[in-house]
Amino acid sequence: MPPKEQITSSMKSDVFGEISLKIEDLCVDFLLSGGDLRAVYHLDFELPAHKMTGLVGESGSGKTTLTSAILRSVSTPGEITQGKIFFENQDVLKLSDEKLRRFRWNEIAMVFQAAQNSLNPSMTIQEQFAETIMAHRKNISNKEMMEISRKLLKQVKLEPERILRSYPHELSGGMKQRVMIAFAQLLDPPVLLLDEPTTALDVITQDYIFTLIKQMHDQTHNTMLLSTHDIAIVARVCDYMAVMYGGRIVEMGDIFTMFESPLHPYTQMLIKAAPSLVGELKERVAIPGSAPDLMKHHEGCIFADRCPYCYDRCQSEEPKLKVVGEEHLAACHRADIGKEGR
Amino acid sequence: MEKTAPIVELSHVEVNFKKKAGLFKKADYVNALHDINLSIYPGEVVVLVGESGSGKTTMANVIAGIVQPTSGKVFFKGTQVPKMNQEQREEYRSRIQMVQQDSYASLNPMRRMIKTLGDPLVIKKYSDKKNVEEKVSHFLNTVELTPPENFLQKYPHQLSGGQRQRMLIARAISMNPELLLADEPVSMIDVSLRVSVLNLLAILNQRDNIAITYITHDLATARYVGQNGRIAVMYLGQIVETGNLQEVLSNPQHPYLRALLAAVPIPDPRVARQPRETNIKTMEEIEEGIPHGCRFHNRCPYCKEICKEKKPVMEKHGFSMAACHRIAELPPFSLYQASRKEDNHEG
Repeated sequence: MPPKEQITSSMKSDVFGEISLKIEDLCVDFLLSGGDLRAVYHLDFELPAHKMTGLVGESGSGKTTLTSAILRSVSTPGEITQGKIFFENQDVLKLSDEKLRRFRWNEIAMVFQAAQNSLNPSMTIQEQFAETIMAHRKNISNKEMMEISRKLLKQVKLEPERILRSYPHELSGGMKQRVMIAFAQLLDPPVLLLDEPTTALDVITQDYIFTLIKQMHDQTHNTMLLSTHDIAIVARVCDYMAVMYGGRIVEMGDIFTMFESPLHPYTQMLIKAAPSLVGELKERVAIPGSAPDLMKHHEGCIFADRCPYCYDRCQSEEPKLKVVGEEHLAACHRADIGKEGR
Repeated sequence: MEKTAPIVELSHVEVNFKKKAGLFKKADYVNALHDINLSIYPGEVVVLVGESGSGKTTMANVIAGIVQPTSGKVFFKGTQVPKMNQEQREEYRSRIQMVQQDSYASLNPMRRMIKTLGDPLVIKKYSDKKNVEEKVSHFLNTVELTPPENFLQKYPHQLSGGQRQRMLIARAISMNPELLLADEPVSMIDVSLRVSVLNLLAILNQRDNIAITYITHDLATARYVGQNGRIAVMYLGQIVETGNLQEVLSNPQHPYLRALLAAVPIPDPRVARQPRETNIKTMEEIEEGIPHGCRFHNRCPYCKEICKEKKPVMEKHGFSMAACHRIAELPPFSLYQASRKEDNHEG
């Protein structure tokens, strides 16, 4: 394996400049007894390099399926049926098994949703760290390994000596989550996927973990994709925000653009629906209707039946994600009206 | 505030849970609630806020009579709960209803909605068998599950999370309650629908004068239900600050509440990215167990010697009652500083 420094991300995008990942026309299907469910639907996505991008969506919108598709680890009965995922100009979906094994964790690592279940309960943290490092780097010395582990644990404000000797059950939820964040960085991957890293944690612990993640990002400038249902967290830490709905990305752009002049009605309504500690209570309105049934075939726009601006074209023709401004994409036939203020 | 008789009154309530003895461990006690005094009046909204382990759910269970306090007294309409007669007990069981957090686990998956909602009505003689459908439809309308015919024959798995949560609310209000105990009712439903369920609770409170005890860890949602109500902030089994919700949130006294407020992310990048003071220790950085003196002292950035030795009592500070030795010396706190600056800038 060549040393890390020689690999340079050379992918460019017209919209976001340098990018780390490029996804084209990706479909992930779940083959269920009642029919096929397309959890990710002909999705195009570019992940800006060295930035933190928030992937926002409600439950069932396909966030987790998309992030696990990037690592080619969609859980059965899910299957990637179509599309391309480019990392350093190489299609991840075409990698051989051996190359894929080396690619995972080395190039792209992931912090999973339930940290409690991601650690092996019968091994100490040290053993688990060692196992992972050795699987990827044959010639590493024991001393070097310990050094990496200590450094990473210190970065997430844990005492290395104590933690390395511990079993997962001896740690609290917040500590385990921080161990997982350190774990994901063991091989110093250029891209990090974080899937709801703070669900089930207290507000203060959550705040603390995001402070750590932000500090880490400021130091390493790794590319990060943070998927969450909480847009307030994205507002706090991310540089870009992508909004998912019904297996599609409906809008993506710079964080300030997304919050101050969103063009997709779903984004606009989602921001209005989020409870907040500041601002007028009456301004907060829920989105009428409920999430789309992905077992059904949708003619036209997926959001049409909940959208207040829907017209005939929305019912018949599916809107494509297109450039609507500087570093700003939206999939809506009526995005132009949005600019003038609806 | 009207000084009518409270529906429920907790007086010096203490709850200890027994920890099982292990091979090398003696049986031990965990103190879940300590010296709780709280009255809930008719038509009132009380929001209980705290992190996990603060005792908020135990408190709901004590109010509902599911957990018996180790010491202290619980009164329902002036009668102490264990001393009730059959009739009073039945009244107590009906007038206080719970709305659970996990709507999937709290509905019987084998029963259609008409059974789930209808049977209690027949058993409690609020309706006879003939009219039960009409009666159930009425409650479904109240919780905005319309048209009701679409829902009567459904099983829980055929409903969405938001709809199931509404079913739970319908089930609770069908018993004609005076107090709804809503324990994290929106934490498991989609963000886009949360506000609508919170609004429904607020409507039930204002229109039907049902008192609501809203239990949550999320201060942002607390504002929606409790706009005109009271808040009680809990920490390690104690109430540390209480008062009118609006006043307390805009003028927090206790260092714990201040830390909680500062930790809540705000869905606006210009506000959320402002540097904030977060100097409180997380639960993991401190030793387990309940500390001496002020229970918060080992996480508190303002801790002094007195805090380690003496337990603070609830005293009036500004608009709230709070238990802290150091309130008078604390720096001023403003959560809205950042957003206000922005307003000035624009204007």
